[in-house]
Amino acid sequence: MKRKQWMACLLGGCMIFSMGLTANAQSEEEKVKLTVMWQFDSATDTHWKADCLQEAADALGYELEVESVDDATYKTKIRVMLQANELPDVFYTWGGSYSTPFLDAGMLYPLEDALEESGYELLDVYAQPDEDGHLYALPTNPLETYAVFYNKDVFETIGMEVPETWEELLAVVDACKENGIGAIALGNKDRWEGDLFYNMMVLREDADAFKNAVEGDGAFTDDAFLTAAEKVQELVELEAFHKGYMQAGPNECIELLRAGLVAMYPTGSWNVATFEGDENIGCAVFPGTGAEDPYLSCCGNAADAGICVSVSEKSEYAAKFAVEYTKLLSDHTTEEGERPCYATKIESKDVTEVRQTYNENFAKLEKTQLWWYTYLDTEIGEPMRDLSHKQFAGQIDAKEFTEQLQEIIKGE
Amino acid sequence: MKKILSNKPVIALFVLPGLLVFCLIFIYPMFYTLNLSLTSWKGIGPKEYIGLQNYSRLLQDEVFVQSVKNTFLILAVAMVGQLVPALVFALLLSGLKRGTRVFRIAYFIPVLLSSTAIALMWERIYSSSYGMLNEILTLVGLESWTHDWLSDEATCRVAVVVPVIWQWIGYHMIILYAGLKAIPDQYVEAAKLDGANAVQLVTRIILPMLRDILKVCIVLAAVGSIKIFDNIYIMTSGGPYNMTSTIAIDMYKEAFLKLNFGYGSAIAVVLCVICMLVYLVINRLMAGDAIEY
Amino acid sequence: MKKKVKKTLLYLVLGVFAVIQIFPLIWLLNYSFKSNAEIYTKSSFALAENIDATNYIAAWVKGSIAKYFGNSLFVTLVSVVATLVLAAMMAYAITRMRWKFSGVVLGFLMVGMMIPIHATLIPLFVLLQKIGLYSTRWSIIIPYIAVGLPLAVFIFSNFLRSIPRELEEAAFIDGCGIIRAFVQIIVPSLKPAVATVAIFTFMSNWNEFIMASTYLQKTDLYTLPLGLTAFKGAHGSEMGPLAAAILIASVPLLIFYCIFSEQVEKSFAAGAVLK
Repeated sequence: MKRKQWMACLLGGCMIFSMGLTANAQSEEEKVKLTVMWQFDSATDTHWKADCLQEAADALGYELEVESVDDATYKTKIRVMLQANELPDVFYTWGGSYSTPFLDAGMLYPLEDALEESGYELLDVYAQPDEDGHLYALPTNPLETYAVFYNKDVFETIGMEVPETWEELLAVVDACKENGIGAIALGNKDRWEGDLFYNMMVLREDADAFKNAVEGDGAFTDDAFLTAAEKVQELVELEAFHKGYMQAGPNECIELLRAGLVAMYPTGSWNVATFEGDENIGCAVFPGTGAEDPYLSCCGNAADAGICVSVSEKSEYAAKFAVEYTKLLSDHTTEEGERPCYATKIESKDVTEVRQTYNENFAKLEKTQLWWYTYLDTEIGEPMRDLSHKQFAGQIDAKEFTEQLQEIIKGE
Repeated sequence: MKKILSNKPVIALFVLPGLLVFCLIFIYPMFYTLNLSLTSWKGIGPKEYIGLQNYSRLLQDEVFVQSVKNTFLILAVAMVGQLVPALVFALLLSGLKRGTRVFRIAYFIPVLLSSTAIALMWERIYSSSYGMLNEILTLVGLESWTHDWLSDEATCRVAVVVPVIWQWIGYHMIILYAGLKAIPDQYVEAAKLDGANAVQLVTRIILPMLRDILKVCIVLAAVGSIKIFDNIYIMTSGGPYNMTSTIAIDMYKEAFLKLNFGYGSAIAVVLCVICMLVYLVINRLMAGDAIEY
Repeated sequence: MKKKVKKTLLYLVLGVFAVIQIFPLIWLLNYSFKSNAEIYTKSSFALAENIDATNYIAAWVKGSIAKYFGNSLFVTLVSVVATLVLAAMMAYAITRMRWKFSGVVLGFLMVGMMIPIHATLIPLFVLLQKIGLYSTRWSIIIPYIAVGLPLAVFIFSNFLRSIPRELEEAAFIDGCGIIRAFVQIIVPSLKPAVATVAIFTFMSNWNEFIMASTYLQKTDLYTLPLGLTAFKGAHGSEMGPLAAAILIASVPLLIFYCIFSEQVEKSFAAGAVLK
């Protein structure tokens, strides 16, 4: 009796043991594990950015290790990781000169193969290949460009339309001054709002001016730059910008616009979300202050900003993941009214007027010019912004401004 | 006695832990920075030694030269602005018999606030739209005196120092007050009996007795003013076009924004050297024997 | 009669100055109840329209104040205690004991005061990573101790000079060792200096930002000043909750100061803190 019981136990034990073994063996089947590091601000970034990470991973059967940090920390940490040769598999880049150190170190993996395999179609404006013909980043945000937000009530009061030409702009400035309202809000405390404004003014004169000047086919003392600088000088002298614009920040401008204390606020399209809830705020293109058609060209962020992949044995998997992730993200946000990055049939749900106007204007664009500061090396960008600050303070005249600009950027 | 007090192991026990921590955090980085200042390192890749090139570049760097000018201007204004009122109020306070505690707490409160708080407050005070300063001026009919305080070249530098002064007067005042209280009454009484008036009392008796403490305050105020960073950076980021940039701000921008670590380190070294020179000058000017009562 | 006028004038002047010092704090309180619209488009003097807890709740939640509070408390208390102990020991050794390098060490500490913090950030960043302390609480506690040492040693040294040597000498004659004499006789009489150093160090560490933001990477470890960055969004900040967060963060410091200033008071009365 005892022996039988013993045998039964032994057999049972063996069965359980072997079942355990096989179970373990099954779970040890290799699951690709990718490390992701990025900056995510739960206040301003859409939750889809975080959720799609897991969605994409699930769709491909990968495992993820995600590290989320704040903007400033990210910038420092990613550089340290590059130096230590310990880049995460998937990370974010701002494109332009930001990607240069990574490219130089040969740490970015080309993504066009994975993109082709997936069958998804990336919209033209994002699919611009790099100088060496490769695509290194996939967008997580639709391109941000420039727009003018205006207060409808103010324009009713002064009895005018949103300006579309230089003369109309000057007329609006005069009307606003008569009514004691600031014409143009500018948060120029940190120099960049003025810099972006001037970039646009030059673009309106000649959409290829910057490109030509940088490549040597032209100079920063050319007509486009000079005329734009003279126009800015005129605006400064006319006191077109709101009171205290040289030490104001974006917050102030937003509130002043909402309260009807300024007429217009030219700023980036990231503020579309800010003004969506305001019934009395409208969106328009930056006026055609020069020869160029205001609907065809605009300045914007780097089209090559987004998720990129580091070079390692897992690069192929990471590339597939990057494609899947960005496509899912694009689809989800398109549903909510954002512009798609990939060709898609998804229709947006209810869209606010501000966003609608902006999206329509965006769709008409044929050309985007990268912000000068993002394009240039920080070494040059910083003195350029200091010069811009001087320009908006009215401390330097147009001709000297262009000459110094040439010196700073081209060193001659 | 001597033997007990020169017990080496005990001395080591008392001194070494603190000294070690200190060397780790200050002395080692200082040498590292010194070393780095002789390179052209940009945060990535190997360090390339370029000798004193960074330093010669500094002499021609407009932004740096402007920063140095600003730093010395701020130093002068900040020192006078902090120390003179601190001394005056400490003297006034020490003349009181009751109620000093309330005043002392009130004066010290700004010292307890973080630089973010101070910068935030004062930025709003200086604002051109609905800023407190301009509002007050308009109220009392001095509208022509309103300015864009932080962005106007003429006013920005002083405007940027005022919050610092406002914050630290209390600090120096408390220290000076303690020093005043420590002066034995008999000296003051004797002088009064001899017919000294208030001014003579202060200049001939009190100030000399306060010399050691004054020196501490002056050194703290001087070195602190040279190193100011947070306050100014949050309010103006060194603008407009570098008109409120200080050496410390320039160093931060070069090293952490432009990632010119080598060049930024050279600026850091210059900053330290200037601090030390200022300290030596103060030391020399206030030399004298230690006072014993 | 003249004396009375003089006295009232004195109180008036001191009072006005006191108001100037405190007024911004009260104004900040008012500010913390305002919305962005009120802040930028209405008078600074206007009373906040809705005095309710919205901004404070937002501050508490968004600034993760509960979590960061604990971190700040731990880091500050540990560093203050450590600074007190190390500085007292060093000051005693420098002022009372006889050895060749006492002056050198003091000079060393003074030199350290001249070095700007930003110059130490990169080397320490690299060093901390190497020794594996990076992104732990110790990565800021140790620097805080070092930063607080010079002033602490200085205050203790000065204070020690006013304690008569006879005190320990009597103990030595009775057969006491140095360490015992230090702990049982010197330390108790250092109380006012301890309070002063405690206040200065607590204050400087509680509000410290730069080192904390560079060396602490995990948000779990953030101290209160870092929580403030949560309000500075990429494209705009909410100033009301920011002000609320600042005030909440300042409260412990104010309490600490009030408690310890009692001790400092006593020393003022005795007239012996900084001779």
